[in-house]
Amino acid sequence: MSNKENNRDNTQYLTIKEEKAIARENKKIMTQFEREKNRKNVDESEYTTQMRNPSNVIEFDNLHTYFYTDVGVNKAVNGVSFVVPEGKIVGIVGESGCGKSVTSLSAMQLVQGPVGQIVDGSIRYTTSEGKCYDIAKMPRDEMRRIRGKEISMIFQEPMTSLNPVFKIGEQLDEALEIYNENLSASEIKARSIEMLELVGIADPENIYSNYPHELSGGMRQRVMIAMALICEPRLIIADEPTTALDVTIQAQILDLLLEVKDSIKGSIMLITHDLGVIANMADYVVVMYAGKIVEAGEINDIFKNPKHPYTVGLMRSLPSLSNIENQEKLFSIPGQVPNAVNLPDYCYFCNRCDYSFDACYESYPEDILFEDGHRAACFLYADRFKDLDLNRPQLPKNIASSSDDQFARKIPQGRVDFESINNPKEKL
Amino acid sequence: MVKYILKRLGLALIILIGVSALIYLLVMLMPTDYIDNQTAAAVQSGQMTYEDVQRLKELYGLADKSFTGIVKSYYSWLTSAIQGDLGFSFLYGRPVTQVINDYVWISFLISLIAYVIEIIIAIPMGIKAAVNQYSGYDYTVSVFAMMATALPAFFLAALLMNVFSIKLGWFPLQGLTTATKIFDPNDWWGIFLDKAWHLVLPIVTLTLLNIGGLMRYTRTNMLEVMNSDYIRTARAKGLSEKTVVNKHAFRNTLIPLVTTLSGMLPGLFSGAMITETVFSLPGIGYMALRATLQGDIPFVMGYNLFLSALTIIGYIISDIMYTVVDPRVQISK
Repeated sequence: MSNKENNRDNTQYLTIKEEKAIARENKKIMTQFEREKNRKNVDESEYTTQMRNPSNVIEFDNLHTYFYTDVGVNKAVNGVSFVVPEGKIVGIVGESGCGKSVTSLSAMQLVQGPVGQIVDGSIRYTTSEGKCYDIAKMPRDEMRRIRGKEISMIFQEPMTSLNPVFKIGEQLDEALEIYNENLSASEIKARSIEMLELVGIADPENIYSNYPHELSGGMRQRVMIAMALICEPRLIIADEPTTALDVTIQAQILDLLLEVKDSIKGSIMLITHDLGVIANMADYVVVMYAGKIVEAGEINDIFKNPKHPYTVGLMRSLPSLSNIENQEKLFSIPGQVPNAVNLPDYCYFCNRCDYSFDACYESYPEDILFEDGHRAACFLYADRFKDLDLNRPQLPKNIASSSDDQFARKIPQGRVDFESINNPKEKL
Repeated sequence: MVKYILKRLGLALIILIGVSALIYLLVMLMPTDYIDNQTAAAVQSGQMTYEDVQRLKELYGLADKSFTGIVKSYYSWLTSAIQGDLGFSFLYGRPVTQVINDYVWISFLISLIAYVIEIIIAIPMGIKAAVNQYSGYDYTVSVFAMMATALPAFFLAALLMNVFSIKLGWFPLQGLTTATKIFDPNDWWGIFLDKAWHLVLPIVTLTLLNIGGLMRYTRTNMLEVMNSDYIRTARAKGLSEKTVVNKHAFRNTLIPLVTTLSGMLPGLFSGAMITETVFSLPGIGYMALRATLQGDIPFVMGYNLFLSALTIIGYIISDIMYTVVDPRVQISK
């Protein structure tokens, strides 16, 4: 019980002495990592590895990305392992602050340094030339050749992700120029315009010579997608590509992503906290919580037969029409994601979990494997507790009973503010 | 655009009239005036009587210090000022406009050279410090720049004079020309070198004083830009760090830099009062200080009006430059 309270009260005060010790320690570690990354002429063998399975585009293996902050080490990504198979879409879900974005930024080596560093683990990636690199160990100069051409990224904020002082065309051309030095200026321009057309921009020639501020949010996100795809990358990381857009545009952008993915034969890592988007798009789902993967598996396994109480909680917190019919309030998981600076040494979710029992407060659960690669890190399914009479999470009937097709449709795209529908007065 | 500038200039005229009224009131309320200063010794030794002084004051238009008197004399000053006549300087005995025109150029030259050197040194330094934030370079440059900025002008000038002209004897101590040398008027190269040699220390002083501020300003803005989303996008494209910093980041840092720096351009004519005085340079700042101490009302008025006009023009230039460097800013009316 005391543990529970400790964990909830995550704020703690540091003495000046402790703060100084942290700063000194951080400085030492950060300088070491930065020096490692900034080395020139590193022998290629140092960061060349072998893929576990050649049909994967990228393999995250026990990835640890930490932020050395003034209040201590923030373990934003803390031992994450998953793979993206070729031509598939892997969805990563979780609340804000679960390490989804940091995981994807790690794959691009774009974590804001020197504070943020990939500390341990590996990210194996095979380039289109067939060389397999460990991105976690690549020096900065080499990494540049992976970005844009091999792995590209669509960011969540289209409003701020385009440089305000350069024309759209200039920014697109530039991305293409890096890898196609032999193309002439007019060829590059033609290709950029073609790309703008591909992402569904009606008047590409005009947009080409517009500044970002002259476009709407949806248009800018299309430009971002065009920019990410212009070099035909093998892996596209879409970091909440629709979060900043309104619901009607969301659907269009997602359809577009699916379309262009097929046309360039790429794979997508789709990061979102919108389960509706995942249900429509993904082949595999990875559920993250506080820097760790709590459940991962194929889309059908996750949506029809979720195991981890957190995944079930996420599903239950989706609004559905039966909520209104039955006049019930929308479910929400109580509490917050723990502060990643002082993580407990037992399950991070147990203090928010309705199903937690003694074992949850003793150690961190190992991954439990189910059929077909479906895995969840939860003691409820551990063999040694099989005989205990435990209350296991169940999907509510209205969600569980739906068939495949209905299921995807039942989940509205975007977030509906149900509080305000139920109690319009309270909102005011 | 033309309409906008005309509108701003019209507004500037109103501001200038307000400023001139305020300065006139303040100058007239000074406890002593030009005549008091000039006649103090004569009155004390009994060569002049109080009545003589009063007569002189009436002659100079300084006798009536009541509110209506001030308003009346301000009105007559304003009417001639609008016609372009700023009056005669009491102290220099010449039209104010002529005095300003005679001495402003040397001040402008010093300030301009210091300004250019500042930009050339401070901006690259600020960028490098921002890119390597919290590095040894960042700390060293920041500490030295702030030290130079924190020194008072007269102290820094005295320090440089002591070291480089008195102790080492590399540069002349004061003035603009070597008084002990006689130059052939046709030997313009010799005259030029002599003057340039005299201007080294004042320029160094001005540069050192301002470099810290500009460097820190560049650094702050650069840091802000470097942390923005579009820099991450630029990196994600696969651009080299050099292109990211020099093209994407610097182009955005230029927006605040260009507007501020271009706004400073007219100010280069205003003279560096303290530095010019310490080095006894016949610049506009030095002349203005002397005139102010003596209570030379026409010159003080003219000089301050000149300064206000420069400031206002600076703001207008700065606003116009925004539309030039930032595509998001457009003048609507």
